[in-house]
Amino acid sequence: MLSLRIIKLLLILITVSYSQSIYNSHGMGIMKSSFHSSSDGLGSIGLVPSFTSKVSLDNPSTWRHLNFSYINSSYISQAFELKNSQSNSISSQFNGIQFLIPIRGKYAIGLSVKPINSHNTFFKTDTVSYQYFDDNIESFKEFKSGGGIMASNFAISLPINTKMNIGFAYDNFFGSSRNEKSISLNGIYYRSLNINTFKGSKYNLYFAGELFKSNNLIISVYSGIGKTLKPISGNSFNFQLYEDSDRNFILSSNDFPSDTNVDTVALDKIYAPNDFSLALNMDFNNSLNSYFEFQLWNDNAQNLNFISLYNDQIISKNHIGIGVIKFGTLEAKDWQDKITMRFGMYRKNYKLSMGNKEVIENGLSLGFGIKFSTTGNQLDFSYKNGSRSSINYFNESFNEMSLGISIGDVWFLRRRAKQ
Amino acid sequence: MPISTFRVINLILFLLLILSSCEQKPLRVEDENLSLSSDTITFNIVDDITYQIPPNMSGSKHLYIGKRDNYEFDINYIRINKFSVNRYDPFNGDTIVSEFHDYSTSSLAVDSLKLSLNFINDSIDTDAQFYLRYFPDAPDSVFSRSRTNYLNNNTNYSDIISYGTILEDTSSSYATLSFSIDPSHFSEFIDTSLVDFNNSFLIGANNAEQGFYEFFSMNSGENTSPSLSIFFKYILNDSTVIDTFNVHNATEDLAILKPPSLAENDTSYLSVSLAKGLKSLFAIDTKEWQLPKGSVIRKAELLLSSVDNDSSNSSIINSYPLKGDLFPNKFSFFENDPFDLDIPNGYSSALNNNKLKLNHRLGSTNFFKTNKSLHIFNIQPNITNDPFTTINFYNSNHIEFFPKFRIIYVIP
Repeated sequence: MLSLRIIKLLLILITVSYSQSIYNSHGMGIMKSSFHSSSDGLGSIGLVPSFTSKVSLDNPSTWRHLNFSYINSSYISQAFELKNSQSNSISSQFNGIQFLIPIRGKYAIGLSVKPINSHNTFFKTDTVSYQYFDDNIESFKEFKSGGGIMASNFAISLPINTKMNIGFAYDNFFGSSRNEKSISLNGIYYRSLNINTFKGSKYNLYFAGELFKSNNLIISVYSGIGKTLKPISGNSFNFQLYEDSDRNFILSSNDFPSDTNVDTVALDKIYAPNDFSLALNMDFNNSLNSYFEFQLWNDNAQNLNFISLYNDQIISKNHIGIGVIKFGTLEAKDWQDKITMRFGMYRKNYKLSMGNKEVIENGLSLGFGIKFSTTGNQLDFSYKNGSRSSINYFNESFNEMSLGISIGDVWFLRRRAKQ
Repeated sequence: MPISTFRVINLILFLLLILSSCEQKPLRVEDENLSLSSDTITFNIVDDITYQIPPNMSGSKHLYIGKRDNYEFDINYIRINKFSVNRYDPFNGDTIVSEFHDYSTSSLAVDSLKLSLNFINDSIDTDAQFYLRYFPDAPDSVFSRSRTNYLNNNTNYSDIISYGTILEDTSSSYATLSFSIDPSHFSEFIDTSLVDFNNSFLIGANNAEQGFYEFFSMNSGENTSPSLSIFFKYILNDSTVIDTFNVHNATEDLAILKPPSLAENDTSYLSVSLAKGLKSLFAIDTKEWQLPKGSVIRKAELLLSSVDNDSSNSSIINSYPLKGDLFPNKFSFFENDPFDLDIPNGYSSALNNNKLKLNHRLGSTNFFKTNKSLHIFNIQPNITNDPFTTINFYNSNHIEFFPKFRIIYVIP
C-alpha cells in the first residue's frame, strides 16, 4: 500500500515538472528503438531479454520461450526541458499494442501496431519589438507539430536448433503528421498549416543464440538487421499562409485572404532507415542478467520537399548500452521475488544533415515489473532520465515514464496428455 | 504480501488519468533558422494629378437652394414613391389605397395635394420665392442621381404649378416649405395607362441669389424626407364619405450644383472636393519587385499628408484602384468621369492628424498576379463629408510629405 502511494506521488511530481523534445521537429524526428516498458526500463533497444528470462517483447527471435500468449500495451509520458530556457512542456501518447502467440514451445507469431516516431513539438519564441517607420510591431512565433508514422507489424519466430532461433518482422508504415506555424504581429496571427501523409515498409531479421552454457553462466548473443523495403513516401498538403483576422484558428471568410490555395506535393523517399544491432547477454543462472548492446542506424533518404519546422533531419545514430536485470518469478513465495528489477545506461550519438551537427544523448533508466495471476500477467513501469546536448545547438534534458501491461493466456500451447 | 487485482486496476486507472491529462506548454526557443518573418517595402508615387468633373450631390443628406461661397444651387429634383407610407384600407383588404393608380377609382375623389420639404432650421427669413414644376411630358426617367449634373439636367419641365409657403410651427424643430398642388396636375401620376410615369418634381427659387437654404433630403430618413400628401374623400356607401389622406415619401432626390471657379491650391496640390467635383489620381510603379511566393500582405497603404494645419479635420476619403491605365498628364476637366474604378477593392479612411492611410491590401494582392507594374489609385471625398470643404494633399514634389505606397507583408 505504501509503495503504491509512493508511485502515485512520484508520477504527480514528474508529470507536472518537465516538457517535450525540440528534436521532434527536425525532419522525421527521433525514431523509437523500443516499444515496451520492459525494454525501456533496461535502457535497451529491445534485443536482449527484459520481459522475462530469455524473452524480449521487441525481439521475435526470443518469443519461443514465452509460456503464455500475451496482449501487451504501454503508455508513455515524456517531459522535456530546454537548457537555458525556463519553459517546459509535457507530451504523452499510447505506445502501441501487441498480440503474441507462442506455438508449441518452438514457434511464435506476433501482431502489433506501434508508433515508430513522434512529431509532437510545441515551441514559441520570445516577443521582440521593432519599428516599420511609424508602425511599432511586437512579434513572436509559435510552432506546433503532431502526429507521426505508425507501423503495423507482423513477426514470426522460428527455431534453427535447440540453441538458436531466428525472427522475421515486417513493418508496414502509415500515418500522417501536421505542422502548424504562426507569427503574431501586434496580436494578429498569420498561420500556415502543412499536412504530410506517409506510407512505406521495412523488414527486420533477428537472431538469438546461446554461445556458452555452464552451471552458473549462460552467455547469449542477439542481433538484428533492419532494411527498408519501400522508402517512406507520401503527399504533402501545404495550406497557404493567411491572416487569422477573427482568431478562430481556422481559415474562414473573415480572414485574409479568404480563399487560399493548397499546394499538393508528392513526397518520394523521405525516410529509408537501415540498422544493424548486436547484443551480448550474460545470465548468471540466479535470475540476474547483465547485457551490452550496440546499434548502427542511418536514414538514407533525403527529400527537400518534406517540410519540418526546422530544416534539418537526423541522418544517423549510434547506440551503446549496458545494464543489469533481476527477473522475478511467478512461483516465488515472497512478493519481492515476484518483481523484476531493471537498471541500464546508454549513450546515443545522432548526426544531423545540416552543418554536420552532432547530438549526444546520455541516459539512465530503471524499471520494475510486477507479476500477478497464474497466467503470467505483468505490469511494467519504467523511468528514464537523460540529456541531449550539442555544441552551439539545442541542449535539453528529458524524463520519460512508461507503463506497460501484459495480459497472458493459454493459446496453442502443448497440453499434457491425460493419464 | 500479495497485491490484489483490484489495487492493480486502481493504479492503472489512476496512471491513465494522470498521463492523459497532461497539459502542453510551449518551449521557449531563440528565433534562429525559423521560418515566418515580416518585411516592408516602400514605393514612391511616380505620377499624380487632380482632375475635375461636374459635382454630383447624390447621397447628400441635404438638398440646397441658393448661393454659398459661389456654389450655386438653382434647382432640386424630387421623385415621389408611387407607394404611400401608410395604406388606406376601408374594407379590410378588399380595397387598398396606396399606389398612385389606386386613386383613379370612382369611389375616391382627390381634394388636394401638398408637397412638403423640411428646412434644417426652425425659422426662415427670406425674400426668396420658391416654386414647383413637374414633368408631364418627360419620359419615365427625369434625372439620375449618379449622372445628372448642372451640364446635363433635364429642362423638359412644366410651367410653374405652385409657389411655396413657409410654415414655422413652434411645436416642430423644423420649418416647412409647402407647395399646394392642384389635383389637375396629378392626372398623369394616377393614369393607369402610364405604367412608369416619372413622378418627379422640380423645386427652384426666384430671388434666392442672396440666400442659402438647406432642406433634409430622403437620405436623412423617413421622418424628415420630402413628401407628397394626398388628401381625398372615400365613399364607403351611400351615406358615408370618409375624408382622409396618404403620405408618399421621396424615393430619389438630387440638388443640382454649379461649382465656383477653382482656387490656385486646388490644382497646385492634390485636391478632393465634393462640391467642386475634384478627385485625384496617384500612380505607383512596382517595377521588377514581386511579392514573395505565398506571402500575405498585412498592409498596403497609400500614405498622404494633408496641407491643412487643422488636425481636427477627420474627413473621410475613399480610394479605389483603377482598372485601366488612363492617366491625364495635366489638370483636366471631364464632363463624364472617364475612370473605371475597381469598386470591390476600394477602401475608406479618415484623416488623422493631417495624415491619411488607405489600406489597399485587398486590391494589392492582385497586383502581383498580373504582369502589370504600374498601378493607379483614384481618391475622392466620401459623401458624408462637408461637401463645401476642399482637402489638399502634398504631391510628389514635396521633399518631406510626398505621398508614398508602403507594403508590410509576412513571408512563409
